[in-house]
Amino acid sequence: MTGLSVRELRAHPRRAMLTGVAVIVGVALVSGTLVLGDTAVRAGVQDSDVDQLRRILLVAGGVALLVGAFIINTTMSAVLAQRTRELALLRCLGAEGRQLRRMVRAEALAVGVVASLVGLVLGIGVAAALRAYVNSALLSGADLRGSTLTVTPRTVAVALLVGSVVMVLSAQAPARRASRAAPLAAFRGLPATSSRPRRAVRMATGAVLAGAGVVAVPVAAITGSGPMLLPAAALTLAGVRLLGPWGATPLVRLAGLPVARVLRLPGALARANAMRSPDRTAATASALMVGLALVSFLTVLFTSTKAFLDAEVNRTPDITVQSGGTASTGKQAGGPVAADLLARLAALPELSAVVPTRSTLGTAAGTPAVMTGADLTDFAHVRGLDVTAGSLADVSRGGLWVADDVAADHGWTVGSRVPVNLGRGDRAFTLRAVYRHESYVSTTLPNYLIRSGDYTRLGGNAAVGAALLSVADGVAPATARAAVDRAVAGWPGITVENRAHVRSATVGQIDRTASLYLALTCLAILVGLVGIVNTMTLSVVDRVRELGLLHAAGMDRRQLGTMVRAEAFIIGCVGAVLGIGFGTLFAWGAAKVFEHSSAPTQFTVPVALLALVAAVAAAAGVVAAALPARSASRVDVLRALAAE
Amino acid sequence: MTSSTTLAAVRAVGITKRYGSGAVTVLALDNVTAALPAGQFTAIMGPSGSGKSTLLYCLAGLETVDSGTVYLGETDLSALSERELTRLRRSRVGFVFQSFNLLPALSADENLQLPLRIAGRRPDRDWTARVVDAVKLRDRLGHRPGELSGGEQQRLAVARALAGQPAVVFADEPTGNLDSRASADLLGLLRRCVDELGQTVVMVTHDPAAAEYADRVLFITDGRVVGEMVEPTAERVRGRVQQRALARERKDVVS
Repeated sequence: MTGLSVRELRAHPRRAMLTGVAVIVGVALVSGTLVLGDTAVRAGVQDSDVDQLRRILLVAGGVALLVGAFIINTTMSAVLAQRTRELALLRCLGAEGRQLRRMVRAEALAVGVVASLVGLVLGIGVAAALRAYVNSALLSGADLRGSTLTVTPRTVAVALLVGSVVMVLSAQAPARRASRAAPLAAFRGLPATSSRPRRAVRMATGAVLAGAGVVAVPVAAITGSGPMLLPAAALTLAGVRLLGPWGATPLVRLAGLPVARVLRLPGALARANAMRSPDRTAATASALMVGLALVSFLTVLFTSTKAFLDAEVNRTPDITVQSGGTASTGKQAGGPVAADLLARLAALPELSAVVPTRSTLGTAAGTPAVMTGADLTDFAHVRGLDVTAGSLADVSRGGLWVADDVAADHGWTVGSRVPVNLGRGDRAFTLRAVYRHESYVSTTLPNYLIRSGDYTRLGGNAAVGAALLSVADGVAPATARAAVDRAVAGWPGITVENRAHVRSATVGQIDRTASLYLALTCLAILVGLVGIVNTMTLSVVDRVRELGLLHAAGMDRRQLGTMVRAEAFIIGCVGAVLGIGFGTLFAWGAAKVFEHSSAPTQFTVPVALLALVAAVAAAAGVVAAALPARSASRVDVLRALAAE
Repeated sequence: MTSSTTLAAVRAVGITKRYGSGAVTVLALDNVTAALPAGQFTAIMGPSGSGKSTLLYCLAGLETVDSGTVYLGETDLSALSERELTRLRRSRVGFVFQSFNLLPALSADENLQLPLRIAGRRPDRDWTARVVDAVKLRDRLGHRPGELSGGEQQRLAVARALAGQPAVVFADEPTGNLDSRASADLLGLLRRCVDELGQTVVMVTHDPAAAEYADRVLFITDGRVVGEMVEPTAERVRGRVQQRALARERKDVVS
C-alpha cells in the first residue's frame, strides 16, 4: 500500500505540488532563520538586531506553516474527494479503512519530506538574502560579510521534522474522511463534493470558540493582560475554521453581489460556484484571513504606536539648545549654555520665546532627585505637558510639578507636601500638578519642576543646561533652525535639535521596524494566495464537464476565465474582510493593553492603509487565479463532455 | 421461485431493501429469494430501476439489507461487522465494474496484483499464470491502463477480480462501455472463467445478447424476481423481455 502511495504521487505530480507548496514556504523561512542564526554564532557576532530579526523570522515562519496547514488540509480534502472513486475501488478490493488512512498519511509524509528538502534549499537562499540585509547599513553593529552560511545537521533535522509533521498533521482529517469512502461509490460515479454533512455540534463548538476568543479581547483590554490575547487569537481562529462552512455562504452572497452586478453572467456563476462548496471556500478564505489578520494587526498597532509617539513629539519644544548631546546625537560632554548665547538667541526675530532651564541633583523626600528650575509659565508655554492631575495655573512660590511615575513611586497626590533639598537643607514644597512622563521622547522633560526663584533660593546650580525655544508665528521651522544654528556656531559642545529631527529619529525607527515585520508577514499572505491557486485549480478540474457545457452553450473563453477569476476575487474579499476585521479587533486589544505599558499606544485605525491592504489582497487573489482561469478558458468541449 | 438451493455460492432469503424515508421511500428489493449455484454463470436482468443492481450490491455485501438474509457460501453476511465484510471482500469476492476502475498510475501487472497486495497475500504463481493466459494479456502486463484498449482494460479488470481466487465474481454491466466485438470477447472470457477455471460469476446486464452467455438468467422487475430461464438464448431472452414489457404496458393501460 505504501508503494501505491508513491506510485500515485509520481503519476500525479501536480497534486503533490499543490499540497507541498505551503510547506516549502514555511520550511524555507524557518530553516533560513536557523541558517542565519548559526552563521552569526559561528562568525562570533552577537547582536540584538540579528536576534530580533531571527525572532521575527521564526514567528513569520510559524505563521506561514500555520496558514500552510490550512491549505494542505483543504487541498488534500478536495483532492481526496476527487479520488472518491479510486478509494472506493480499493475498498471493494478489500482494503480496510485503516489501510486507506495509512496510504493517505504515507502520501502526505512523502510530500512533506520532499517539500521540506526543497524548503531547506530555498531557506539557504533566504539566509543569503538576510545576510545581505544584515550587512546593509540598516542595521547597526552586526557584520556578517565574508562569513559562509552554516547549515548544521540540526537545521536539516528541524526542517525535515517541521515540514513532515505539519504535513502529516494537516492530513489527519482528510485521511480519516478518505478511510470512510463507501465501496459502492466505485460502481456509480458519485458526485465528488467535498462538503461534509452540517453538524450542529461542529457549529456550536465553532460558535463557542470564536465567541470566547472575541469576548476575550475586551476583557484583556480592560484588565490589561496582554498574554491573554494569544490564546484568544487561537480560539478565534479555530472557531472561524469550524464555523467556516456556515459563515461562508452569507459572506460570499454579500461579497458576490456587486461582482454579479458588474460582470453579469460570469459574475453570477462565480458567486454561485463559491457558495457550492462552502467548506472549501471557507477554508481558502480563512487561510488568506490569517495572513491578512496578521498584517492588519501589525499595521494598526504600528499606526497606534506612531499616533501616540506623534502626540509626544508634538509636545516637544520647537527647538532645543542644550549642553552636550541630544537624543539623536548621543550623550557627550559639553559646556553650559552661556548667558551671552542666551542673549543672542533672545534677540533673534525668528524666535518668540527662549526658556532657560537649570538642573541640580538633590533629594526629594530623602531620595535622589534631579530638580529643574524654570519660569513655569514660559516652560508650559514652550513645552507641552500632558497634565494628569492638578493644574498648571498656579505658579506661585513653593509649588512643585512632577512626572506621574515619580508621583506614583512616592505615593504623592496633588496637595502633598514634599521636602526638597538642594544642599541648603529641606524645604517643603506643595505638589500642584502631575504630568505624564513621556515614554519615547523624554529628553527635554524633567522629573521635578520648580520656579526659577525657588530653585535659586535652594542653592541650585546656576548653569543653564538647556534652553527651550519657540518659533515665532509665521516663521518656517527650517528658517528658525538655520538662524539658531548660526547663533550657536561659536559655542562648541552645544547641540541644537528641532522637532522634525526628533520625529525622524523616533518615528523613522518605528517605520523601519514596521516595514521589516510587514515584509515578513506578507509571506503569510503569499502562502494564503497559494491556497487560492490550489482551490481554483481543483475547482476547474472538478468542473471540466460543466465548463465544457457552458462553452458549448455559448459562453466564450474570455467569460469562462472571468468566471474563475471572479470566484477567486470573491474568496479574496471574504478573506480580506475577515482578516482585517479580526486583525483590527486584536490590534485594538493589544493597543489598549500597551496603553498601560512602557511602550504606550493610541489606538488609531489607518483606514486608507487597510483599504489598500484589502484591495491588494483581492487583486492578488485575481492574479493567483490566472493559471486556473487560463486552463478553464482552454477547456476542450468534446473532451470535457466525454469526461465522466 | 428458484429450483436449486444445493451448492449455492450465494443465497438471498426474503431480502428487502428500501431507499429514502417517509413518503419518498422506494422499495428497491421486495422479499427476494434466490440461490445462485456455484460453478455457474448467472445473469440478472431487468429494466432500469428494477432493482437488479441493488440485488447485486446486497449479494456482494456492499449494501445492507433491511430484512432477510444473504448467505455467501455458509456465511451470513448480515451477521458480519464492517471489518469482517472488508475481509470477506478481500478474500472471497471479486468485482468487475462498468467503468473498468483500473488505477492509471499502476501497470497492468500491478493492477492485477493489487487485491493480493492489499490483502498482504503471496500471489499463487500457477493461478496467476492461468488467469493471465485466460485474459490473453501476457504481452501487455508492463503497460499502463491508458495504453490498453477498452476491451483489454476490461479483461484486465476481470483478471484482477480473479486474482484472489474468489468464491464469486460480481460483474455490474461489464460490457456497458465496450463495443460489440469487445463485448463478445469479454463475455466469452467470463464464460471460460466458469468452464475452465471453475469460477462462479454473477453479472447484471440489460443486454439479451450478453445474457445468452450465462447458464441461467434471473428476471427482476419492480424489486421482485419475476422469472428464471435456464440455458438462455438471445432470442428467448429478448422474447421474454418484450413479453414482460408488453404485459407491463397492458397493466399500465388497465390501471
